[in-house]
Amino acid sequence: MIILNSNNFGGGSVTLKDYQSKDICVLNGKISVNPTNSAYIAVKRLELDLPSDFAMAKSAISTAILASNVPIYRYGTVLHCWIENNKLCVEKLTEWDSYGNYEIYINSAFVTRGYRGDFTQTSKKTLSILNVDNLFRFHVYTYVETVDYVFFVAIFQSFPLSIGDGQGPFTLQLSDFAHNVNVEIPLIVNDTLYPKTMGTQITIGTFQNGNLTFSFPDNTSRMGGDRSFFNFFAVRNKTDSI
Amino acid sequence: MKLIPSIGFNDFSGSAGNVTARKTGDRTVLSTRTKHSKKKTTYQAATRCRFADTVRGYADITEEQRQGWISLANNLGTYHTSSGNTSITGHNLFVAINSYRKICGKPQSAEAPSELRPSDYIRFNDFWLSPEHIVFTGLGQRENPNEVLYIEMYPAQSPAENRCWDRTVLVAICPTTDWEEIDITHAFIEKFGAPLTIGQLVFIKICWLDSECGYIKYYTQIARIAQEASLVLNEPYIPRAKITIDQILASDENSICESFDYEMSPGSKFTSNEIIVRYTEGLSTASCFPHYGLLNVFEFERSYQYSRGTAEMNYAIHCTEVLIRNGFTNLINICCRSGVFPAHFETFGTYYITN
Repeated sequence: MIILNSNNFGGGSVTLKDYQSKDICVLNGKISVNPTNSAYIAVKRLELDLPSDFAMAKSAISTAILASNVPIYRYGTVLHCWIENNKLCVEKLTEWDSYGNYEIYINSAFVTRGYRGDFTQTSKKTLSILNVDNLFRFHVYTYVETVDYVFFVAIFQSFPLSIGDGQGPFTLQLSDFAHNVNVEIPLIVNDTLYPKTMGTQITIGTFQNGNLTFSFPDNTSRMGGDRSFFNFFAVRNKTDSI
Repeated sequence: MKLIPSIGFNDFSGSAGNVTARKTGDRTVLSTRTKHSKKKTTYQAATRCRFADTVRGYADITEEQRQGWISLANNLGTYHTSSGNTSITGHNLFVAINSYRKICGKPQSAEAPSELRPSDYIRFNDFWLSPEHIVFTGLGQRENPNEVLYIEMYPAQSPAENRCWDRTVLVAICPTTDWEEIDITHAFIEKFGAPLTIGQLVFIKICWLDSECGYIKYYTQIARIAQEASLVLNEPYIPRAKITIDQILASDENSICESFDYEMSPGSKFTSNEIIVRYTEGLSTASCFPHYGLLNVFEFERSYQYSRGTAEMNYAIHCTEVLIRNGFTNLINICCRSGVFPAHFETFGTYYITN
């Protein structure tokens, strides 16, 4: 864990799970933002000071997910996120500021550039969905597991749809997903029949004990359904059993 | 100005044509006005114009400002230039500082700076000096945002030429590095009209220069013979696994690639990239951009990435597959895999590459 105590937007301290090396860092956590704070209004991008001994002073571009406070649907988008001068930097978008405090989820890897040499292929690991209710089926997925962190991107052919399957909670049960990953991730659950609103519908899920659990908010019209997806890196807990 | 001791015009003073006579002690000295060479390269013209503009600028500043430059010059004692140490007048300090500022793209400064931050030596990990590559790596982070890399070079015409430090000319100003690297191969060829040859002796002056101050004091001097392997670690040149927009045909029948910056990093294989695509026709959810041939490290590189519509597309999120195919098929496929696919979008971030 690292704690980021100072930032340029008047926010409180932020705790992030971390894996650090000079070539790759993985961070997990969320940042709460108050868009009425005068410091926030004044800045062009959000900057959080990393610990002075953080392994990487500068990274290539990575991502974060903005989940707004728009009632029910938490419309949001993907943001540019990177490390520069020992600061974690996040793009500032003000489109959802009028809805009050919002959150930025960071479940990302940060790498450096400038490598000159050979590469080896990435080893993927096979997962199976254990649910027998046909609520979940992969369209495509990629799961990479290392000793220190995992990467998981999945697009679903079958996924709960609030209008027919209710609000949940739903649990995606997986074989062979690392049991020592405990992370909150945004799920992109925009139904393809969505109205032309600003951003995309988001709900938050939690991976714990190898399974993903999430719910839809009350009173949704349509959320979820096929082609819902997620994409994240997550640090593995060293103290938990595998 | 060339000074010629006179033996024939002891009492003559004044000008005639290009010759001026003046009394110095009990001697008359004739001087001739130096003319520019007839060569009119763009570089020479720009240099002369820059110098003349800067010199004229001193006449336009106020007396108070002039005194500021004179005072700063007096405080400096000896001024260090790329061709040696010299004491300097306020006028010449104004011209020197503002010439370097102008080279760095800064406007002329009428006010003398409160302090002169001198240029600094560079450190680097390795350096290729060959006909194909003039590349420094591991240059480190600059210490303040005003710092640029200032590089002068002189390729000797014969191995017997030595101590040619006064012949170096400006080759490049690099406001930023590319991951602590600079590649000045093209700048060198543009300046000297031809690439280096193996075995050619090259003189290089390079420093971190504060572009606001324009004060060159300390600089690293390198005099080395061009060779294929790097000069520090004796390594062959291995390019970075990088794709830029000039390596691809950036349009297909229904879309245009507006930006493409892609690089692979080890561990075991990551991509970090930023790509912007705009659809011009139809409802297609895929683009197919041919490339002109890539390094062999690129084979079949697939990544699933976050994307978002541009502002006019409401920032809608979708999942994009980026597929680099190299070898049998030289194509880059960018395909919407999930979400609402906007007609103008960007995909970016760091992801694992799988096949």
